[in-house]
Amino acid sequence: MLDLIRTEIFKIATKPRSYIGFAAIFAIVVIIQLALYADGQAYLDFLIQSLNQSFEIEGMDFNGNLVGFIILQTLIIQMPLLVALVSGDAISGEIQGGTIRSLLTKPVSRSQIVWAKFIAAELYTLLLILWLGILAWVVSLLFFGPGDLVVLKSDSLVIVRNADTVWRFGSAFAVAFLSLSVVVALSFLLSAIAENSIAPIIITMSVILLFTIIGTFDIPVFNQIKPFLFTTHMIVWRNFFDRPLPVDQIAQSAGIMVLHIVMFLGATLIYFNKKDITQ
Amino acid sequence: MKNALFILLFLPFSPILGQTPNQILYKAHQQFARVKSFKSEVNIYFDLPSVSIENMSGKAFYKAPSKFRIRLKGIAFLPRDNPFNVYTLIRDSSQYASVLNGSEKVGNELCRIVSVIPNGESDIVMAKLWMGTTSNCPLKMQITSRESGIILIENTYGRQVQNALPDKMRFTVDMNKFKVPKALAADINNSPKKTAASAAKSKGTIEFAFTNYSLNTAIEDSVFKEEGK
Repeated sequence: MLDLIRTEIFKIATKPRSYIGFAAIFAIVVIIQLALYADGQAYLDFLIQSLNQSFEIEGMDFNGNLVGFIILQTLIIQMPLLVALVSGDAISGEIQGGTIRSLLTKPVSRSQIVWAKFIAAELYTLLLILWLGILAWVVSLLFFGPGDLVVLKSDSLVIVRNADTVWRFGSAFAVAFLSLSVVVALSFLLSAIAENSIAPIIITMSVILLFTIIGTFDIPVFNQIKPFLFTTHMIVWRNFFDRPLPVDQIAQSAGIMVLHIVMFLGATLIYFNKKDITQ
Repeated sequence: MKNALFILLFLPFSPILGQTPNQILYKAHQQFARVKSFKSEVNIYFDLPSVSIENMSGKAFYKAPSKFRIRLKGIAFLPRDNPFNVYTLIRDSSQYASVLNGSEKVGNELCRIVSVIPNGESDIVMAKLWMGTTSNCPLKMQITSRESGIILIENTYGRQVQNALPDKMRFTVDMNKFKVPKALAADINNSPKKTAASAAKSKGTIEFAFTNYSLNTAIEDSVFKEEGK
């Protein structure tokens, strides 16, 4: 099994598309950091101007924690695309290239192949999240310095003390990884069904886009649907920056995401085990 | 003209409690005038609608006649004006007009309500002071200023009452509703809760609890300057 995982990691590492995610994150993070370095304080002052009329706000400086948070909430929407680029190709790429037949001649079960591919895709996702964390948060802390974090919401503001940020960011990245694992599992299922590698990537992104749009609108009909969409729970990482910490909500959303992963992966295993590869 | 009209309206109530409003204010000022400077520790408690912020601690510094600053580490929402500004206003009786507006109990202490209007240019437009008859200190102050609008300050006195320094100051401030476009806050999937409290304006409170007063010690002017200025 370990050899199988190693082989799958090697396959991911040798594909040029695997590096698109790392390059895209680097480019986006650097651009946002430069823009915020130039105009970040003015941007923040603009957002809190209604409070400035009532109070003298001490110590509200633009800092690395805030830059990290802004980048995280901006990029987390695009991250599924970068993940789907690799995971959506995992099985369908082998089918399209015709290598699936030789792969299945090995003395391993089909389930083991799916597991090995899934674990390799998860490792890739983990590396992508770590890369994002290092660039968006650690590098921002080095450039902008530490400080209290201002969590901006559309109708409120939460101040998180600097000493409190490490475990919150750590937990947020862990939950963001779980969110992206849902995307990996979904694209895996589509990858098992599809005969080419483009369709799973496009369908995964279309589903996420559709669900996100539904989540954005504050329409009563959509509000009924929202709890059943996995994208609603994918942004639960933000809740780690709330006070008091909504533990129940985080646990519920994490549970729903795990359930989605189990469902998607289970369906992938069932489908792939029955898949006719002779045609 | 504005001051003359104000005096004409409220003058008939002045002799009610024996002392003239100027005498009441003079007593309070005399008590506070003993304080040339102070530093103290201060715990700050926030209760602000649409802002979630932990209580915090810092140090308060005052230097006569009108320098006041709270120094702390991190983000804090503080009243815009120096809360001891009112003593600067009542320092010279020729600089203001005052009238008695009756009396009222604040806590357990009977207070005389004195309204003060500055004669010249001042940030304070009007101050309504509830002056304690026992402590001779303002237990409640409603200050209307050009910069900050109306602020209500409720004072609780303890050991430093003879110097008119409160143990607690509770500020009630009018707050504009905090609203940022969802796109700017990147706050998708969040539906604002529609409650009765979500009116356009609401009130927030900040409480200072002073401890360990150290009076009339040398304080560098640099303490009162903003960092980087």
